[in-house]
Amino acid sequence: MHKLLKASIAGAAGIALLAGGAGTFAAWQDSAQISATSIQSGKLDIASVANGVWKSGATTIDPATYLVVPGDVLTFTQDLTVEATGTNLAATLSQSGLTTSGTLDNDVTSVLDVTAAGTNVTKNTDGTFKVTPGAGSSKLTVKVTVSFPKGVTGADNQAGQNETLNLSALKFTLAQTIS
Amino acid sequence: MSGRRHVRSSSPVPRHRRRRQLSLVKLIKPGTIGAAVVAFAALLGLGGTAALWQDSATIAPSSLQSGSIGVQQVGFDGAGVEYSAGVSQKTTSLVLSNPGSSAADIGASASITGSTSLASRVSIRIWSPAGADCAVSAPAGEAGTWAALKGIPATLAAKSSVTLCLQTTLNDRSTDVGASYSAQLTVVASRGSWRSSTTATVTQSLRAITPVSVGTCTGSGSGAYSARFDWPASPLAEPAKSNLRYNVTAGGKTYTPAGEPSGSWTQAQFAGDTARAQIGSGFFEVKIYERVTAANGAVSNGTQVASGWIEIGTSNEEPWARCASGPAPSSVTAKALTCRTPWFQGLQLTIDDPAGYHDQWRYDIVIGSQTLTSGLSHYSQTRTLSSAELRAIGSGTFDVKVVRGGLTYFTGKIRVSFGIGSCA
Repeated sequence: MHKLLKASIAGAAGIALLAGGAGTFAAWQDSAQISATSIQSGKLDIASVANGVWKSGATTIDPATYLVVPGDVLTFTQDLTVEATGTNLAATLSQSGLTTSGTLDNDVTSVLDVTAAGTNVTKNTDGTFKVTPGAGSSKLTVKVTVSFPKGVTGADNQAGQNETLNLSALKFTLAQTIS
Repeated sequence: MSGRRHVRSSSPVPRHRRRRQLSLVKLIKPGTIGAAVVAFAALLGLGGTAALWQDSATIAPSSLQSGSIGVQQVGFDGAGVEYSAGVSQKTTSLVLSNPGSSAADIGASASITGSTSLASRVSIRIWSPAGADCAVSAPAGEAGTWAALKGIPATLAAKSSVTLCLQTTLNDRSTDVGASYSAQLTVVASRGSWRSSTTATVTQSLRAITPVSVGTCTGSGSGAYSARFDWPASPLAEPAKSNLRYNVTAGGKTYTPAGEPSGSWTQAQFAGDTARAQIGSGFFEVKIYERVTAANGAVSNGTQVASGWIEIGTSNEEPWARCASGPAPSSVTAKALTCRTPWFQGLQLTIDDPAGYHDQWRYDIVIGSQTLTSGLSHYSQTRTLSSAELRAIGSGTFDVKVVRGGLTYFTGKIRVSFGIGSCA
């Protein structure tokens, strides 16, 4: 008896549920479509432009064959391009610094100077550069100046002859920063 | 499925799971929780950094090599010379080189030890010869001195050399006879503070063989036609006088001293610093030559080192002599300037003598058949440095000649008549 009652109740509930489902399919229905636009990422890039150029005064020289003498002032110039796009992009440009070695290093002075053209790359007081987004690319000019002082002629002096000055490779790193 | 999990999660926790949860709570202490938070934050940070953009570019200026300079000279020792009466110049080649790998500025200077007086009279020419032939004459242009060398190239290219000719000339051999000096040539290559130098030394001297002037002449001897003249010859430094040869010429005839092929010398002596010859009276042009002995022993005249004039005569049996160095008068002109009265007929001579020896020469004035030798007093004759004037030579037309040393320098006529004089 008790089991029969339970079965009857369950059967009644099932019939009721089936009756309710038939009512939902008959109700109203509508839909709306939204279209989100695509998203484009920015760019952060640094690259060298051609090869650097060594000059003595206004004359281009080949460092493989040029022999330095007292009184020479040689410059090495290399351009870099910095491309930074991105609405909220901020970046810092730093360089590894110039180191020199070799026996000729005792007789010459070597100075590194990096200058930037445009408004998107500005020099910080610590020597690094602040890079802000901008259209197109910005030019960065790297200039290494090697000076061999002329000195004063006195007694026989052959210091610095047949010697070598090694200049380290310069690495420029452009890194995004979080503002 | 989720509904079932939610149902299951909301059901009472089984006993065994409740025990495990309680044990984890006991294990997690406050410090451990902080460390976990830091580690989690660190992990979050690393993940963010890795996501940031970064790019790099490398440039390599490469290396530089220095050069070198140097300087070498070859040949300066060839400038050593013993100047003499016949040698006043020495030419040698001088090669300068820069063995360095860079071009160098070149300079040269000389320092003198010894007779700076002798060195100061030496002129120096340095030039780059065509075909490295220094036998070709030096180019025109201002010569340098030991104190200021000229002609040294301003630069020498790397690993290059230049052949130069160096010519030294002793311009005046009249003084500092027997003196010598050493000249140290210093050639400097420089480039900025680099400096390299080389030095070499030569000795130049002046051999004492010069008579450079006729000297003095004195009348001597006992004969009416003999006199003596002396002139500076070689000093004791050249006692053998082997390098001297004296020729005395008069009227184109050459006289040679004793010991030489025949001549009209009556005596020739070499003693001390003088040479002496005793010759007859007359008017002589003296030329003194250096004796040159060839490798085969042949002797010849070298450079003429002195010349002058000697006039030897006698007066009242006493010989007299006049002499002077320098060129002979080239001409004598004469013209009658004044023919006013028979007793005051004038003839004035003008002597063209650039050397200024007028007062030392005597001219014979031949009027007609008479020779009015200068110095004769029975004619009124006056002589100045450049003129002579005759007076009171009487009436008539006379041929006039001015003669000296057998040479006629002037011919003309003078006509004198009573009260009227005219000259032509």
